[in-house]
Amino acid sequence: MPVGKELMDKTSMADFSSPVNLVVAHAIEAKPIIQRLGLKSVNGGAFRRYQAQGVNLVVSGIGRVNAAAATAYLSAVTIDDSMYDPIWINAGIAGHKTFELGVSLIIRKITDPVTNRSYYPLPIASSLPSSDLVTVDVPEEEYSQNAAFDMEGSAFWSIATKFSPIEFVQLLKIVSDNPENTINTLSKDKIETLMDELVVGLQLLITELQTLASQYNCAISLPTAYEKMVQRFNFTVTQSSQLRRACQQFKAAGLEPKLEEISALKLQSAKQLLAEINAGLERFTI
Amino acid sequence: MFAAIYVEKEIKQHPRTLEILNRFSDLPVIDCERYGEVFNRNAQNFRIQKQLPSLILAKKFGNLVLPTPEGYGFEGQGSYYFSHMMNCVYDCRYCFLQGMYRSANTVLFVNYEDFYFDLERYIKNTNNAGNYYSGYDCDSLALEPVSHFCQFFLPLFRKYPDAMLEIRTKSTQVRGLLEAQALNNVIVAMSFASEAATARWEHKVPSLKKRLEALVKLQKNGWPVALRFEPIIYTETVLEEYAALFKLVFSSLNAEKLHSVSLGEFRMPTEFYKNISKLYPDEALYAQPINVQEGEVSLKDNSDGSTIEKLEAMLNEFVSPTQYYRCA
Repeated sequence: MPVGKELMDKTSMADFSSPVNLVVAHAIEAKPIIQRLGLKSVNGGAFRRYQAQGVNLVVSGIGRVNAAAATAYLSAVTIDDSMYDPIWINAGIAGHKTFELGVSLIIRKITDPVTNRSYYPLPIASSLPSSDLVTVDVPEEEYSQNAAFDMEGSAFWSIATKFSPIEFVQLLKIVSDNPENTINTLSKDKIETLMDELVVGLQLLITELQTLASQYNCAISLPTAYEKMVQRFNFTVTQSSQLRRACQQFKAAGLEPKLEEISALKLQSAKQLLAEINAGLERFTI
Repeated sequence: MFAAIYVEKEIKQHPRTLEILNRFSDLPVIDCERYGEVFNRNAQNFRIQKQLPSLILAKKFGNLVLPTPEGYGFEGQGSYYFSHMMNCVYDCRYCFLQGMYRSANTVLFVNYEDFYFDLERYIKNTNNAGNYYSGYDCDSLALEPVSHFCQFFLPLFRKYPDAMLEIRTKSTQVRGLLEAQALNNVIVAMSFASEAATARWEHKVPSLKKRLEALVKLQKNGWPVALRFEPIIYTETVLEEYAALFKLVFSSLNAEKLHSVSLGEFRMPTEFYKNISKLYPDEALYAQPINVQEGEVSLKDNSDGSTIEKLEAMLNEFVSPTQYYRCA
């Protein structure tokens, strides 16, 4: 069984798991992830994309513009796959001033020197060392700060956090070069080896995030009667929102059987249905 | 307790910062320019973040002491509040802070000296008097072993005996107070809900028994203590639950010596209520029918509408009318 399949089985947590969207800059970096997670190529589209149940990976290309575009693209092509917000992870290699080669890093702060803005992923519990990350436009050869350097991180963050809460967005890097082993020493084989090591950390990170996401998704999930009612009538946007909230309230109040009864009533319109539902809650006391 | 500590660069070398960082030496420390970068940003989910909250050490600028909202606290001389912290380490499901802040992180402003200066200015401008409330945007004592709030601010109120400080809390961190000489003008106001409400909604809060024990110790040491029975949440058994609570509380404390006792129903600005309902759609409290009036939400009293009056009548058996007020 591929490691990815096993991982997905472990993290699926019934029906409440979030999709996992991975953004990787280069095909060489992506290869070990694709193999270990058992992802399959998806034909067509503006970016190379891979998929397995619950996991998507896009190869963005190098640099901030590519990272932003690929992140937006991946969101657009997968948005209907799940009712839950996806987990987003940018995984890849990075230079670092002080860490040794092959050290996997969880990123706590991302700085974009062009805009002079910083971003802060949730400091999720991790056995991995943490680091600041600076996203640059050209490869960093001076290692000017005690931080990791990449070329996509800040753009990935800016776009991914438009589609999911920031708590679901993380960056995971492995040190590929440092002042003693400069970027010029990088080779295809070396990158593949490093990324193969990173996959272990990536799997743990996905598991950790999936635990957070599943708990939340379970809490916001809708009762089964909701789907039945949505299929029976045409709802305006406002009515649809009212229906969702009312269904959640019935569920919270422990009144799902009553909601099922209402959903089976012979009613003429969405308006009538909402009136019945609201009346059903009117006398509720804890 | 915390997942990480964010530190504003400007106060990184502040002695209070260094002391706190030393205390939490195993936590990741992340530099930031201003706390708002972390605390006020968009797309945060308070509920998810509450599972991994961080501490933010920052410097507070601008108005450090503010007039209290209308109807808050005692009548009479000027009333003001100040917040050396924002947010609370506890996780009460009814708390308005969940709807007011985007972030579940706790901000601790380390520039106490500036708060002291501003408070003293207000006290002087109020004829060396005034009512000052701490604990509106936080729990004043919950982080006491870290913040040493009492140690720093008590001397100011010792200096001005006509100025009153109310420390609103649900914490049992009262060692600092017990080790200090009691002050007649510093009131520890402990919030209580019924045992059932505590179990259901007050997550991470010390047990009712432990809070009561802390209050008894304070009272025995000469500190004025006050009771805040809020928020009252209407349930089918609310009267029985609070009858039991009042019996327990007033059999432990000397009622005559209580500084004040108040009662307040569940209420909050509509916007906060909407935010919290979205965060906790699975919480039965937010499925209860509500009243919306002048931008504020309160729960509908589905009994005969006089639950608060009945609770007040119960309280009257234990305390005098001069000790009691109803929160507006």
